[in-house]
Amino acid sequence: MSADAVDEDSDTATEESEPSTFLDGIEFLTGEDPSAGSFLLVVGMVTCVFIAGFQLTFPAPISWILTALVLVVAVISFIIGAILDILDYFDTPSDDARPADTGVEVVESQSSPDVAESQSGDGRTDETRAAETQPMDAEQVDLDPVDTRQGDAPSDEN
Amino acid sequence: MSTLDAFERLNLETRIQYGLMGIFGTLCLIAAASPLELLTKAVVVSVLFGFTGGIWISHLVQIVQRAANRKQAATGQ
Repeated sequence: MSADAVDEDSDTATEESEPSTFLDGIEFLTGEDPSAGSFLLVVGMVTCVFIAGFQLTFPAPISWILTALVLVVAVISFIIGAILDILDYFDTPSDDARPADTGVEVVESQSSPDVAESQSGDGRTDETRAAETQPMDAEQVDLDPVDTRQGDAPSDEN
Repeated sequence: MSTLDAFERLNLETRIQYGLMGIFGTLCLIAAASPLELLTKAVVVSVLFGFTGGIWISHLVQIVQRAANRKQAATGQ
């Protein structure tokens, strides 16, 4: 019973933590850490909500006028978003061009240090360190005879 | 909780503008769904949507001004 309770608590904790970060990225689009994707997503969502509300609650002439006003505001928002992108306001302007590639790169960059750290705990660090230090030793070995020759030359002269 | 924390970490002007936009936008949709007379409802909804859109556009203009100043300062250095 207690294990089930712990599992339920852990599930609720993860379910609460993930949407909160998601909402942070969406809601505060012009505050800290702005991104072009969240900006466009929020403008599109709000536009759809207002258009649906006006179309469902007003008769034909008034609903079309209010829908046109909503679309005008959305177009102005998109234009200003493009101006902000030109001014390098958003953190990663290349996300608009290649969103999937950057997402994969971010996931790989976040996962690779953890994998390296987890593997380093298994004892593979000695091998990797040995593999990394061997070329350095080889370069030092290559450099050492030059130094010894230069050092030996005055010794031979003496 | 983290959403509220992030909201509290925002700039005061940005916080006020987001709050006013949320209030006027919510009131706009509530007024649109309310059982008022058609002309009254259209006027109230238009006014509330004008407030919401006006605050949003002014917020965007303010952000553009900040970004332009930051860009100018970055290029000047």
